[in-house]
Amino acid sequence: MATSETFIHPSFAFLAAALLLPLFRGRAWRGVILLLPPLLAVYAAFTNPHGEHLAVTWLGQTLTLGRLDALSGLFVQVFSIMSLAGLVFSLHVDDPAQHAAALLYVAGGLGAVLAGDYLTLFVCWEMMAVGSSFLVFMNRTRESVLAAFRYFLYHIFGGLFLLAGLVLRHKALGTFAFTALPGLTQGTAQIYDWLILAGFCVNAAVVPLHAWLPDAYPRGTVTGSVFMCAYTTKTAVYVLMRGFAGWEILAAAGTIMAVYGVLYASMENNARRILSYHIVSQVGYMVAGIGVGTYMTMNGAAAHAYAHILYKGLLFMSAGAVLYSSGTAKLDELGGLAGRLPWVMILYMVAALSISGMPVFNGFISKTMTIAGAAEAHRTLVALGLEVAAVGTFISVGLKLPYFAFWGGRPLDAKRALKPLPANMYVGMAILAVLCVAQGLRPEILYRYLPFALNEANHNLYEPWAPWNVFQALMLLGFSGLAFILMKNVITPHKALNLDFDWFYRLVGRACAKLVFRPCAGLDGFWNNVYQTAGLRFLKFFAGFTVFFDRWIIDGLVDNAARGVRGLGRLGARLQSGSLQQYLAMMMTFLALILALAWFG
Amino acid sequence: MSEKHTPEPAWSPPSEADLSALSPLGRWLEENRAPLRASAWKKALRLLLAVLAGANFVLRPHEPHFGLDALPLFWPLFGLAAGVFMVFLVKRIIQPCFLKRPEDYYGDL
Repeated sequence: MATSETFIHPSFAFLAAALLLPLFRGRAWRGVILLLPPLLAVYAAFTNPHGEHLAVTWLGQTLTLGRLDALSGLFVQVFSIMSLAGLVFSLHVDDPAQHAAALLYVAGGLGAVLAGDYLTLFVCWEMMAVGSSFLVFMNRTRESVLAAFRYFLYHIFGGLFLLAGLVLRHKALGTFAFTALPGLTQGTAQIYDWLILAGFCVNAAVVPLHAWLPDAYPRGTVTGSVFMCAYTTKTAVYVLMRGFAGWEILAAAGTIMAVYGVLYASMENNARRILSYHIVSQVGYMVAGIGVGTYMTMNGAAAHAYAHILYKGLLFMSAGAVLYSSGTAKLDELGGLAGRLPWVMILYMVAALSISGMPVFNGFISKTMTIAGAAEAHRTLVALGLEVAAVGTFISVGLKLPYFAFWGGRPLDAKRALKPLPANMYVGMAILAVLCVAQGLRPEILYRYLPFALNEANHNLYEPWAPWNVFQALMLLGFSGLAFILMKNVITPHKALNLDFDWFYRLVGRACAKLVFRPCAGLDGFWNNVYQTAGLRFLKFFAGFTVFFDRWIIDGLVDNAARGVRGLGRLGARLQSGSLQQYLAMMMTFLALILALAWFG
Repeated sequence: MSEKHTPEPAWSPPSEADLSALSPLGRWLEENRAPLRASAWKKALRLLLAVLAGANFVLRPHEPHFGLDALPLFWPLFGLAAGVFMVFLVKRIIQPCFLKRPEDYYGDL
């Protein structure tokens, strides 16, 4: 692998592309501008030297824009690969604004992972919130626009926790540096640590702060949701790994997330919402791994984040392809599409078997590492919870979704008008599918980049392809499949909305609105009364006065002047009779008058 | 559940014209959806499950994680029971009794 001493910050390439994009009209130019930044990012991910780069002094603070080590390097690498696959997948979209939003969002994600201080992190954090809100907003349906506003409000709210935490932390410690202080544990944490953790947990979709995710992601554009499923939650996983490893509360929260997401997914009807709940569930594995905090579970969390970005991107791509082609992602409206979209189904199944942890696919080498790590750390409840979630994942994503979308007992869906999928969508999906299988077959492709070296001293050696591990996975998944066959008629999806914690968010929203509206309405009513009693009378008096002033003063002056001019005019006209004798008589009279005045004066 | 659902249209053999419009891969997949082929696949799956369960009496973990998982048939029963219980709990109790609302409950659509 080539190495170089120059550090290339990938975010700047994405930002430059976002700015340049509207200036170029042709498809070819757009393709070049869209693909250059991810290609550069992938190159930089493998060649950038480790260390702290791009230190900038601003407002008396030293900000580090490029901190690259094993941990951030892993996330930068997978973020870059995902950006390439995602942009290839969205090349056909003829809307520069959508591309610009995606580029801004990716720039924010990469910037956040490379940030060495909380201030840079915060700026990138908000950049992601803006970019991703637009990815939902630009689906341009009523429900998407409303969801985008809710999403934006919620992320601003989460960002404020982070801001409050980092400001208080700076006041206490005098630094913005983003490092876990040695010896900082849940027991010794200060209020600012908890505030920062809360901000991170909003983006990690930790239950009960998660409901923004299944609200917004199914409503994003077909291509926008592909990006969103990769960056927001995984950036949060990265910052949790960096700052909060070994916090007991995260082990519990992660296990709850893993099971909670699975339960909701099994009642959902919308394919992209099922996948969204499975983000909550899969990020739960990572959060739990971080909470347990051993070298093995931390590596498991990092490996799972990497694998998850690849297979979840592919899941959203293939579900998005069905939506793009058929116009719906609702399972009760689909079925019998296997014959007409065979490659979409096969690519979907690669991702579905990956998320389920089936041997050969990459979820198998990452998920099992976290579970084994938790079990070896004697965290029986955590490990069992994650195994239960694995069963539910296979049933929902591996079987229910594809069965009701592609297979089902329905006849071949030959009448439905299907929009042909552009080739670039297939290429984007193929990139991720190849990586999912490659990592599953050759775990070292992924393991070599894990943040903690795999060795005896770290107690984190793990061999996913050990016979028992393969056998155990096949038994667990095989018999989960039997459970699906037995319960197929019970799990059949129907149209419904399932209440989630966003019911409470909306309650809080309505309460806040009332808190603002009630006093405003009261003040408005009071002011109306004041106006009608005092204001209106004064106005009447003032109107009367102006009428008087207008009629008697202004008009008087104007009218009298007019009358004077008219009188003079008439007099002049009368005098100018046109008769020469009269003029002579008048002249003689005036002359006599002037002479008399001169004589007697 | 009180709500009435239209029964799913049952599988019926596709016409030759519809089949010939498919790609070779699509056609192969479609042919495998036919009841006879599908039941053959199901038989193969049952056989595989039986082999896995049988092999579990011989193949055991060297270092069981939970203790009980050293016993034969632990993981098959775990997968089956967890799956059936979860689906039943969610679709028969939690969703219909507590969480289910009309699709446009919030008026967003």
